[in-house]
Amino acid sequence: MSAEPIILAQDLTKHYRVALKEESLLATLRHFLLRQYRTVKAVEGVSFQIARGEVVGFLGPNGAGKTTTLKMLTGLIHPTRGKAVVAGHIPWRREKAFLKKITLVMGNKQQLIWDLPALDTFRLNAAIYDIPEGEFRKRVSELSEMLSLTNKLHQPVRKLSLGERMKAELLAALLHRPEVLFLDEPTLGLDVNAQVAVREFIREYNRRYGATVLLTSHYMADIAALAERVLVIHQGRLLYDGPLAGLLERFAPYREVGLTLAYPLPREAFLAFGEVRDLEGLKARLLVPRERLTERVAEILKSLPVEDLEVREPPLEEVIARVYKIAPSGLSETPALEEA
Amino acid sequence: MRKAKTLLAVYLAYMLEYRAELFLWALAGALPLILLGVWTEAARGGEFALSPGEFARYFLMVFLVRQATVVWVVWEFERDVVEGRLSFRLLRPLDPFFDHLAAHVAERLARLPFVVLLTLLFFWLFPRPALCLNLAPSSWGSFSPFWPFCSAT
Repeated sequence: MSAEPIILAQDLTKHYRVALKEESLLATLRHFLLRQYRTVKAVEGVSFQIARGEVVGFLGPNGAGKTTTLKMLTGLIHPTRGKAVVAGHIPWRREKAFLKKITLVMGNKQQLIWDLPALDTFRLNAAIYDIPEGEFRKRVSELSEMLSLTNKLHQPVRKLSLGERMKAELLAALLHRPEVLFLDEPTLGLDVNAQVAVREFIREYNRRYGATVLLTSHYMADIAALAERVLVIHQGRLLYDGPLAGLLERFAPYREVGLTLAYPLPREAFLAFGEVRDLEGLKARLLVPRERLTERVAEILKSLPVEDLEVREPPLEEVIARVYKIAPSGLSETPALEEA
Repeated sequence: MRKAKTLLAVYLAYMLEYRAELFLWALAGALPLILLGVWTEAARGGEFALSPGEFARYFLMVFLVRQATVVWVVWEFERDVVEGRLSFRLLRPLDPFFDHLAAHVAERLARLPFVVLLTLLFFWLFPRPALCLNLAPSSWGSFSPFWPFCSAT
């Protein structure tokens, strides 16, 4: 890690005012004349540093404050309190030099022009970012090759598959060779192959250009494949900052075993193998300690009428919930929503 | 300059993708052309303060001004905000205003052929009002070379 972090967040805090409204006609009129608000503490005193070239996973359940933090770091919103420096700039000043150094990709939003070929958006971005024509062609050729997108550039965006569209989004976002990539669930909704392709591309881009990546995702596989370090945020507060291996070992020392049975069994039949999380008809879900996984799976296959067995990482939400449960009591007492 | 040219070229391409919709919008604003036909015909047979030629000029101008002053920027900006596209525009080193300006100008340019087409179509269907028009500014007082065709019979 170099001495000067490329991303610095200190006590970053964002409180929103949200209007409250009930559903009746009278309430609508009251809402029109006299609005009532409550304050949502979206992000509360988050501090971290990221070194140049690092790939950091940003984890948290829905509404945890990930996107709000990214929006503050990209300068889209001002924080209520705190300090942020990204690539030597205060983000919310939105200086042109800063905007040329960063990019934001959001899995659920798109910047590509829907009815035109992706190449038109790339050309527009090239003009906006002052990329010379020759350099533009070179970069499009290089990135489209990395993304296996070469023969899709002339097709209207609306005709591309979801995976191809996300690849084109990445190309549009990276054409100006940003130093810092903020990726907000870039694999959202993609099939497994497309997820792998996007992951591979991000890894390769980071390796080739030394770009810094702050990546949020609900897919554990994304984080596991790309990030050695993770930040865990929950209810606006940073709960963990460290290696991914440490997080899993510390907060999820088990694996989830999903079973499909030939015929239904009572709950007692599973107790010897692990903690029963779900049992419904022919489907069962057990939590098995990681160090005894092989032995337990062998026992299950031997003793139970198993038709199908699947071992997976525990859902990220469960890991986060566990992190939250184990977090210092002071944090768990802080509500995310508070009346203004 | 390169930015302006590229913005205009890309947004013109975008607008041309919606050519059928633009035609329908232009058609939806064709009421002044219909009124033009009605009033020039009426002026030929009755006592009106305006001559058939003046009616023709008036309604043609209403049609052209209405076609040229349709503004979608507020609607587009609202969609940008609601659908989250404004975030991307704000992250580029170019004020989003220029996107909307380019889109607006491109929409005008893309609509222009339909406006001309509708005008020509109308005059083909109703040749008499066309003869009543003399668009040379110097002649907008009273003279029209086709006056005999326009005057009341």
